[in-house]
Amino acid sequence: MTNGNKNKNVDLFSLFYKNSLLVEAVIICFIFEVFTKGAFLRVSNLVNLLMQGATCSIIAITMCLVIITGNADLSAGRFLGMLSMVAAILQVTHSELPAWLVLILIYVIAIAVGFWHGFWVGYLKLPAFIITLTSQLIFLGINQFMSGGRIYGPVGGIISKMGSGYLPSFGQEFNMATVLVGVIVIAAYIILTVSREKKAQSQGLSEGNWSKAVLKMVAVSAIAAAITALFAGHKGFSYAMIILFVMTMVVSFISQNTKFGRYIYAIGGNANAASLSGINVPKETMKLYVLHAVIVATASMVYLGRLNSATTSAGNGYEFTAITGCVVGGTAITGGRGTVIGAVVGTMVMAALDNGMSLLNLDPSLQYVVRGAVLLFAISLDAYANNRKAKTVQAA
Amino acid sequence: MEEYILQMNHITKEFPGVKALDDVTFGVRRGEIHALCGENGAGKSTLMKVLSGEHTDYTGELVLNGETVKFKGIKESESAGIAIIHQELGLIQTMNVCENIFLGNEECHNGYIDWDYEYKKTKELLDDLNLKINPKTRVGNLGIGQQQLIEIAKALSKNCKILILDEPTAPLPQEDSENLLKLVCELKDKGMSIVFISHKLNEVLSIADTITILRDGQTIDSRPAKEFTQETLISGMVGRELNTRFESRSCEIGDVALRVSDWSVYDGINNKWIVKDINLEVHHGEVIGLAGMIGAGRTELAMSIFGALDGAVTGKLEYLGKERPHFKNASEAIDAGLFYSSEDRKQLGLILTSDIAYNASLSGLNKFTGGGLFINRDSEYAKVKEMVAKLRIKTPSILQKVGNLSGGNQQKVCLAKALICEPKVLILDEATRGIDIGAKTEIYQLINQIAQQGVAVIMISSELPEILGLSDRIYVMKEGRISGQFDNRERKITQENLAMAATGGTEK
Repeated sequence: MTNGNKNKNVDLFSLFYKNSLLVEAVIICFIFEVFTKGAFLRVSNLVNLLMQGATCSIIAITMCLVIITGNADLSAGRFLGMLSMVAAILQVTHSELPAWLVLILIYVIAIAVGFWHGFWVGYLKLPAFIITLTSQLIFLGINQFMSGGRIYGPVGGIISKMGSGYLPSFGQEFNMATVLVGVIVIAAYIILTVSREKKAQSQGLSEGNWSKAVLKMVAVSAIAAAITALFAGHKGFSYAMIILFVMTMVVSFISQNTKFGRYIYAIGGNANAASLSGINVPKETMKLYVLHAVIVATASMVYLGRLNSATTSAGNGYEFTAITGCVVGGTAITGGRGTVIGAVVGTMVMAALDNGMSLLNLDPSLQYVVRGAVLLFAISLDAYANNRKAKTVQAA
Repeated sequence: MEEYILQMNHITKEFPGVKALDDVTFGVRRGEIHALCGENGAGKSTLMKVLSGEHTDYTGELVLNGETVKFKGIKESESAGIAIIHQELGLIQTMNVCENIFLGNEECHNGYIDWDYEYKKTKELLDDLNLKINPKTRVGNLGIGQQQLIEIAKALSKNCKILILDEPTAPLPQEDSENLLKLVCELKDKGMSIVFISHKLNEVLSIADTITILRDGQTIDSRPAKEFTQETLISGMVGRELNTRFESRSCEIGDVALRVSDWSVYDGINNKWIVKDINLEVHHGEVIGLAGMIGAGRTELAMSIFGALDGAVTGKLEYLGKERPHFKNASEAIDAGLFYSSEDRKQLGLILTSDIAYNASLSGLNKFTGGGLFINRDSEYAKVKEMVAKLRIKTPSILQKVGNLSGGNQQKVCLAKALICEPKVLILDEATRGIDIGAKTEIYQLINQIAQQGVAVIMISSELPEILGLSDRIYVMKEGRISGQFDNRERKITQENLAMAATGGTEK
């Protein structure tokens, strides 16, 4: 009898923990909305926030997978800076080269760097933490050497479009193409979720708790609709948002439905068992670093396109924002657990925090302290929840 | 003084949805060896956790030395004189014997550890137990058998009155088991009360004074050991008569599936040959047994064939009738149809934080991609469900976390994982370690079925009866070499034959 009662009592902590991302987002919005006297939730600021956040969120797409394998990438920010500098210098000094060619070159460099990291971390089994720390320094050095501390810009063509282009409108004031895309995405989401839940029930793998599923579906759809309305009323969906969305979906799908994705989780869960199960751990690790480098390269082009110029300090601390976002979004820093979508949303929440603090004109030194504190809070929350779970009797 | 040192009266412990213990009564007399028997999941471990204070929310009464007690944690039960030695060893491999024994109870003077005292005391303890081990030996350099004895020494250093041994002999080969049992009997003679949990019924019958049988959380029987036989014990545990544990197998033994010649493995880090000059072959439809003591090099031999051992491997490998280069890694071996199921299911076999379906399909995901890029969840789940049913894995759902399953069911998931790969040669390393008789019998039947389908099976086991009951041929290893080879198609080889080869080395 006591058990029945216990289950009925709402467990406040686990309720908070399961929805911590949402709660944190609401708290951040609320606080900044009050302190900025309404500037935070203004349409122009929200669009700006999402555009700014897109860069780090793109990095988080694969950063979370790297963390899930039990590794890390501390070089992502400086790598982004270096790539944007390479692209900007090429655009400025060799203006005869078309932007798409520069883009291809950037991806070639990225793939090479992915192999480089994969070689040291995967095949030589050196700690990723140290290896990527060394490349962080190397990338910064190369950036400074190439630029001599100067700012390079502007950029054009496809690179510019990636960062600051918008979905073409049909001429009206309200961007119909954006509305159309939004509606299609929401409809696809609802159809997919319902059919997946139905299938799980027919396979006997779900308890058939429709009310919970529907609640989540309505919430997600509402947020998606709000974002669509926001952009449609502004300039339409930016290409950066579309790139972020498509890449998130594709990598999320890969992580859940391919051998490669499965192996990533297996390596993080128990690398020895994974190896004996026939998983080529070095090879999969290398593949992941290559994918990650490609994603970071994409983020760098979005970044460059938005700012239209490259500097030596570009990307400083981006890996930190992405890693914090992953942890806030439910990725276990010890590996084995986490989701791509959670990481991306988490990073957006971190971007909102940065944006709000800038709006408040908070002293930059204080901003560092706040960001550090947030990561510490997120990690300890995860650890506490795990600890607590370990000590709680659960229904089998 | 009361006759009973410990009485547990009407203990009931519920987990949500399951009654793990249902009105269990259990009493231990002074100076006796009391064996606790039951299948996995019968409630033995839960009962012991109630006793040690790990579980506090139970109903019922715990009487120690005539006083009702309720422990809030292991520290409290330890200071009351109860010591539990768990199945999994709790020693720190990188520390030496003495450091381990005093870990958590360091003898300090003015903040300094009194090493002289600790080493002296350790020496005394070891001498008491007739162990010729230097207290400064690193525990990681000792065999599992000796480590088990160190655990006992550690318990004794805390002046325990009741010693609980949870499956102490499960990972041990014959000789080490005998040493341990001898030691347990000596402790009893010194007045210690001992609770002994084991799946090995011959051990239970040979050393226990009293036997209590648990089944499905209830006490089925509790009587002097003399009144039991192996058969009555088994029927009490499983609730049904188990007839032949080893069914005969009628299948054609085909061509050689795998043959290694002059196979040697050198461990460069520890500077020694761990496997030396092995010649071994296994045919399609044949089960061969690989016997020997822990540390004889059986696992290393298997892992080196499988391509998963770090070390210098030399020798000739013939696979499916063709000579080929050694397998570079496990994935190459599995692709070629060779599967190795590890003895260490928790560390090397399974990903405990993931679910059954995930684990079972992990090695054989190619079967569900249809040559393409994406995994077909429907066919994957259907296959896993089929396996769960076939292997009778007890679970509410295939999405249950493997870490939540009992040992026997975890082992079955390991087997399911192997079978989904449809191997041509299957190496099973200690496939029945630490699991109950019902599950064992099922696994034996399964091995027979697998062999009948033409799979070549190499079975590594420290339990001689199962080697004898299942293998067509038996290799015995000792110190990295083959020390005996037996034809067992008539099932006429005896345990003595094997034990002789494993320890003495009679060539046949």
